[in-house]
Amino acid sequence: MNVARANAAVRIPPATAASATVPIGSTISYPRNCNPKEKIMRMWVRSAFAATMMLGAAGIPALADDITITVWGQGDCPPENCLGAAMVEAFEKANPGIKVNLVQQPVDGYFTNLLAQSVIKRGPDVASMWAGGYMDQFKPYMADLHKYVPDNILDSVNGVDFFSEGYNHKNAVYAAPGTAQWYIGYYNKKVFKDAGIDAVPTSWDELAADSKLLKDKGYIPIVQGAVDGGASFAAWEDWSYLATALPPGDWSKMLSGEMPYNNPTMVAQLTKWNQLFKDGYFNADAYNSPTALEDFIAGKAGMYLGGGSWQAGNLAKAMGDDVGIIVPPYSDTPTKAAVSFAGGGYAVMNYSKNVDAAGKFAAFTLSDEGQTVIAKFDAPTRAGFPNSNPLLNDMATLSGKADTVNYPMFDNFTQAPVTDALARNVPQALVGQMSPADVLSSMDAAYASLPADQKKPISFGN
Amino acid sequence: MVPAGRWIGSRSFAMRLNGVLFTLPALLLVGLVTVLPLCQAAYYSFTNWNGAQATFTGWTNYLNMLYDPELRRSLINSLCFLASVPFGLIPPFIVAYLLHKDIPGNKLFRALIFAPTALSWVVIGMVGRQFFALRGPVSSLFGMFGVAPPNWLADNNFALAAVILTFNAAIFGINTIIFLTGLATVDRSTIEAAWLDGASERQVIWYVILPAMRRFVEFVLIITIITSATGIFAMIYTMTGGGPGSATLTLEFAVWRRAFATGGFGAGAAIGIVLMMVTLIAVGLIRLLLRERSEA
Repeated sequence: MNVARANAAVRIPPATAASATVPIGSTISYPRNCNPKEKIMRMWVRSAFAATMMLGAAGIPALADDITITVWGQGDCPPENCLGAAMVEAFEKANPGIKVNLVQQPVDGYFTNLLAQSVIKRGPDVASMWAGGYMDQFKPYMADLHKYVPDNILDSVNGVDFFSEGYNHKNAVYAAPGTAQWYIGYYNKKVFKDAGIDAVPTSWDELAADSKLLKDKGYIPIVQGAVDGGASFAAWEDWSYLATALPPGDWSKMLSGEMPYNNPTMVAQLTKWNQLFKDGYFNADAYNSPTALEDFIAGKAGMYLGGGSWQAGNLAKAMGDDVGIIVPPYSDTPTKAAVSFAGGGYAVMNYSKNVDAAGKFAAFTLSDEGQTVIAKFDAPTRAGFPNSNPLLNDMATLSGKADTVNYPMFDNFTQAPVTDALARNVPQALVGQMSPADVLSSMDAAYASLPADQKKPISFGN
Repeated sequence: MVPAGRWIGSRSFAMRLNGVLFTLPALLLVGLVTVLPLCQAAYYSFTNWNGAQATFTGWTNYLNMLYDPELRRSLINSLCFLASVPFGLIPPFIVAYLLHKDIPGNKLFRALIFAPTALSWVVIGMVGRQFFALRGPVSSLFGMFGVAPPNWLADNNFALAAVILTFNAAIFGINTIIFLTGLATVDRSTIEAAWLDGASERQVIWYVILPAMRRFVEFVLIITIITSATGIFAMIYTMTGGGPGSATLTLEFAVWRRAFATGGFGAGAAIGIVLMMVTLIAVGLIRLLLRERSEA
């Protein structure tokens, strides 16, 4: 088509440069179009233009047909054990025309970063998303997945309601649940055995007694720290289990402002938690230790109670059969609680320039192929895809017991200022920098500061 | 024929027009990247903008700041950073003066002092975090003397001091280099004349060198103030995240926290405007002070 014109464009006019001798130091003045530097420059420009046109005319497809989408994940993703990378690899294999650029973002500040990018419509095509309050602020920026995922698949996905409008997946679905997740603690079986402990503690009293045994043996009884790369530890997991001293109905009341956070039960729970620290049963730098998880893996500590199911793969790999799960026993009576939720989902951002390709990626994660990939690393959200990690199976068993009281993850429902107060101040209650009453009052104050439209009743849906 | 006056007038007009045309791209650029966002920020500071929608709320955001203990704390912390600026100036000047005197190995010292300035604030924050960790070198030093160290960055009483110390250590290199450059511009014959007149070293520094380096001192002072007020978010973020609680929260950090951690973009904009005013006032006062001193 344009080849003839392109060829015409590279024709070079006959050379006209003067060849007369020029005295040194004099200024050379060339006739228009005869300056050799200009000629060379023009020649380059024309050649480049012609080459571009010819490449286009030859129909080289490489750049035009490939679509690249960016997917944001959260936290570290070690190459040897990275679900996101495996998912991307499987997706690219199944969709040869689409390339995926997987970017792992730090957990600390992830949602603030995503919000900042979304406001200016410069965020990723697909973003890791947490349900509940985290997701609410992104609703204007997320596409409804009904367009990409068949209804029969959506009907079979556990936890999809948490990512749906009104907690019902018949309404808009904002993200494809990636995994089933639990907040959970871990203990080192070898260390427990060495300290003469034959069963995991299930209450405050047992936890204190076992901690003493571990401490006497020279171990750190409970290790805590900034394991997610943040400046201090995030207390989401501990807080959720501390709050299981209240029934689920009271959670809704606290979240909706009907019951203050600063109530006698929560004050007592935080006080007992702090007492463990005072008694030396936590590592002294529990607030911000950068090596907490490494210490646990290395067998220096007996328990790590602020964890989650997302760590199960790495811990099982590093510790083998020595690691087991433990429900943080923050209870006066033997605990029956389990905190679980739909794990991080994949949200398609509606400002994506390749929204359909992004939708394909989200749909792929829920497909049989996608669920098979998830099962190699974590707990899938659809039945029929068992995984090989015994820790994850133990968590599923825990949640499935008849006498287990299942709670959702508390922080998924707190409003942003309350979440902020929780994140900043609850860790201070552990290390005694703030009194329990002051911490809880700060959460009440954060709730009070909410605009009226955010002070609405919260239910946990199905 | 055009009268001479009109001809001169039209040439002057043409020259002015040329000037305007030549500066127009720069003016447009400054307008787009500085003035426009500033006006937007000022507007949003009077709204409850949540990132997507904004409703005009008048002075509410500013009035709320008066009653917010966290923001009061952040203002005090920012003023502590400002108060620490002399520590970011005096040691670099002393070191620059010593290096300028051609002490043995001064080239090596210059390289060692300047090298850390190539680090980003994120790296500086991470190094600072390790440095002040409970199992870090500072705590080990205390341990050597049998003193049980606190967890510096987790302690309300020490965290701010540790962050301020890290900030001043980080700007040490660049300030030293600027002072070295300034010292190189001082007329050597004036110093020698002062020596011959029997001036002591202190008098030479105070009455000869410092007045000759006034512009450099002013420059270092102003960029250090501006950096302390608006340029160390990344360092604080990586070292303490503004915590524990609000112990290391500065106005700059509060802008981010209010806007992005709690979704209050309008309130964040208001804090940003206040931060700008505080910085401008501090810089203005310094300039006024130095000008009065030089005129005296």
